[in-house]
Amino acid sequence: MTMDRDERIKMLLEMQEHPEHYSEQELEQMLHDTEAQELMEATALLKRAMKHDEFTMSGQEIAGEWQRFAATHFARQVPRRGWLKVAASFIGILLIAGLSFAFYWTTDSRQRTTDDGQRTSMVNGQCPMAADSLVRFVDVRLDSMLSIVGNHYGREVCFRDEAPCELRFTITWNRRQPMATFVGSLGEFDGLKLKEEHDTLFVESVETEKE
Amino acid sequence: MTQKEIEQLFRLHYAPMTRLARTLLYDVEEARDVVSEVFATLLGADIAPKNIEGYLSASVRNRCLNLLEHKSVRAKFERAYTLEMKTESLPATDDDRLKRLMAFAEQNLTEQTLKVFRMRHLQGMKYQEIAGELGISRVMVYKHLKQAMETIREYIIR
Repeated sequence: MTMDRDERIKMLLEMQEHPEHYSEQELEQMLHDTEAQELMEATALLKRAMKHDEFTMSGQEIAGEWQRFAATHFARQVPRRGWLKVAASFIGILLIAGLSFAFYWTTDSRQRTTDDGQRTSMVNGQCPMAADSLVRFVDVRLDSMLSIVGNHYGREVCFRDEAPCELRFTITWNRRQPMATFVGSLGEFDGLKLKEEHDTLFVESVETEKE
Repeated sequence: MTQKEIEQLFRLHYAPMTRLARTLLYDVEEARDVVSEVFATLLGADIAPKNIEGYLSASVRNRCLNLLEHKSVRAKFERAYTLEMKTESLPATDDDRLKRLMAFAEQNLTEQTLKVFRMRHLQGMKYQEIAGELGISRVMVYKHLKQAMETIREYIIR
């Protein structure tokens, strides 16, 4: 191929814009030309430098990415606990189950009367991604549920202790309502305290009477 | 490693790792997947690797290079993927190098040349679209891109 330098550069630019107009062989041939390689490398480096220069990521974006990662990788992990711990907490779980049941009937029946849109269900940690305003969580862990809710409102969720993470809820969430409405509903559950501070929702367990 | 330990590392290193992945792959979703995969490798680890920052950067770089290696020759032309495929020639992080290159480009290329390059390679515009938007000829678009390539090439080989 006898091409002068300008023609070769022009061809390289054409190949960059429309590689589909050239055969694999022609493209490979250009890649084996030392000068073309250097020019392509220069293009790649300047593009990388510009990408590097324009990159920004806020703390809130990182928090959102963490929620996404945690929801994917931790939501359905089986908690590792010893048999003794299970036995010791058995009575407490029974109590919480009873309270959850009561909470389900008080909260859900109230919300059922106001449902006027389509529902999306989330069962056992499967994430709803539909555009419906109403999301129905069915027997979903609190940490999974709040990671989705928090992500929706751009809030970070921080569990001050691990006990409430494994609580499971059946509840309907209206995504069009402010976060405070949903948090208020959860706050009615005995043994659970939720508090919004700036961009973070803090969750902790509180002592309840066991007798 | 516990969820809490991984969360701490995530909050500290997510941004630089994503920046590295995006400067190699140019693609937001691909970069996100790579970084997520690297953090997922920590889930099964009993303890954090020594020099965690180096480990994370090297893992991101290697996964990106592996992806690039499998790109077609057409994609390499079309998206201007780096040809520096040998791991020894591409350091785990090359922040300083890219910053110096950007400063050099801003000093030695005209604003118009940088603009044409951005429109072509970052916004993916065709030559004719660039010419139309800037009110210049297609030949001038070629000249700006040629100028950018040659100037940066001189910088690299000197």
